[in-house]
Amino acid sequence: MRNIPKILAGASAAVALIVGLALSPTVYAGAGAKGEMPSKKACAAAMKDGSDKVTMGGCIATDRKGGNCHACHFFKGLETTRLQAGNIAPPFVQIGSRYSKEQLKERLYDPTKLNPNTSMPPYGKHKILSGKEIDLVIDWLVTL
Amino acid sequence: MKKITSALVIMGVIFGLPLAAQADPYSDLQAFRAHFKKKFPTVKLSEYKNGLYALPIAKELRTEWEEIMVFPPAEPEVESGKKFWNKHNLGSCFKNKGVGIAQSYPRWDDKAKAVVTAEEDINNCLKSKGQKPIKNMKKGTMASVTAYFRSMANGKAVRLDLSNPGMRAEYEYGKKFFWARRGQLNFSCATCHVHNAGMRIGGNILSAALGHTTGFPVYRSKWGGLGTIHRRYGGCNKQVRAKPFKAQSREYKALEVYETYMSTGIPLSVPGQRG
Repeated sequence: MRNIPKILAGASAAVALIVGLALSPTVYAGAGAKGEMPSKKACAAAMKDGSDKVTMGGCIATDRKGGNCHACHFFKGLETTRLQAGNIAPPFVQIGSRYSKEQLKERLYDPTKLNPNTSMPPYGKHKILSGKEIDLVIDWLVTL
Repeated sequence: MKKITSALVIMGVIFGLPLAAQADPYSDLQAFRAHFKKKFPTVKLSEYKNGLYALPIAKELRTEWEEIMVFPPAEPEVESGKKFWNKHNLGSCFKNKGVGIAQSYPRWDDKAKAVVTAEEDINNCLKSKGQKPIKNMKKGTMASVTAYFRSMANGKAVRLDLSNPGMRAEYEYGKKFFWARRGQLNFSCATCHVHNAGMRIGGNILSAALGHTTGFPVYRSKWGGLGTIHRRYGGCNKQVRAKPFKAQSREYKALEVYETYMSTGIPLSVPGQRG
């Protein structure tokens, strides 16, 4: 437990390095503008309002009953929350410049199609998230 | 090139087929152990009796665990299990009065033509004495009596007899269960405890399947008490959002047979203390 901060620090340093090296870092216009994940309250507000898709996607991604993405992936912003990231899967780095929305959709809907041995749950196929929720998570993912 | 290819194909037919046919429990065991030896080269086989705490990545957790173990929280429950055992003279139903035999459970019963778990033999014994069998097979009295029974074999290396074809069939059924994906999250037991053992899922470290059965019943801080291995299986199935099977169902008994055989040679260490 105690070495989690170390791991997070190491991982975030790596993320910062890669982000720093990137040619055109994307501007995070949502609640992550300050590099923070939205609070529960901010999430409830964003969901009710329904216009800030990036924030809504981030909220679904970090909801334990939603995407629960941090259980396996690390991503920027987690360090400001109480959420503990897993290290089963690669960290989310420069997702927007590496994958198209269409590719991400394919990966979220049924990742076993691309890699039958993947540990990742088939979010669409098994109805863990609705199609609308998957689209919102992707809107958030491409800002990372 | 063509010659080499065809030579390889022929060699594949000669050597590959017998290999596939050799997928008997013993070669399964060798492959299972080899996987963890490669993953955790510094961890001795017998160390896996300590579950998660055997893994190098859990070093800091192990310090806390060792502190807890100075006064094991499970002690009062095991003590009450011992009292129950003595009160009903359960030793009279078992070989060697039940001392040093639990490492060979689950066993095959030729008369019943079924796998019999330690928990079931405790209930069989109660019934033979005209007593009511224990209903809850997950926690409470059954967990404490089983813990006492199994603790009398502490230090004995797991050793299952799979020679009966019926037992062997249940082994295969359990093996299939272990490797099959299930639940909304589409995980198999192996997804977490073979392929991702030692990795973090959220804030938790995933244990290695090797040695999984050796500490059960275990005391979990999360439970605040003892639980049988089928209680844990149910929890795992719920976590992957699959419908859990009942304790002592054919599925969980077969899974216990498979996991126990995969823990061959590892000493019992009951009751285990877990997070």
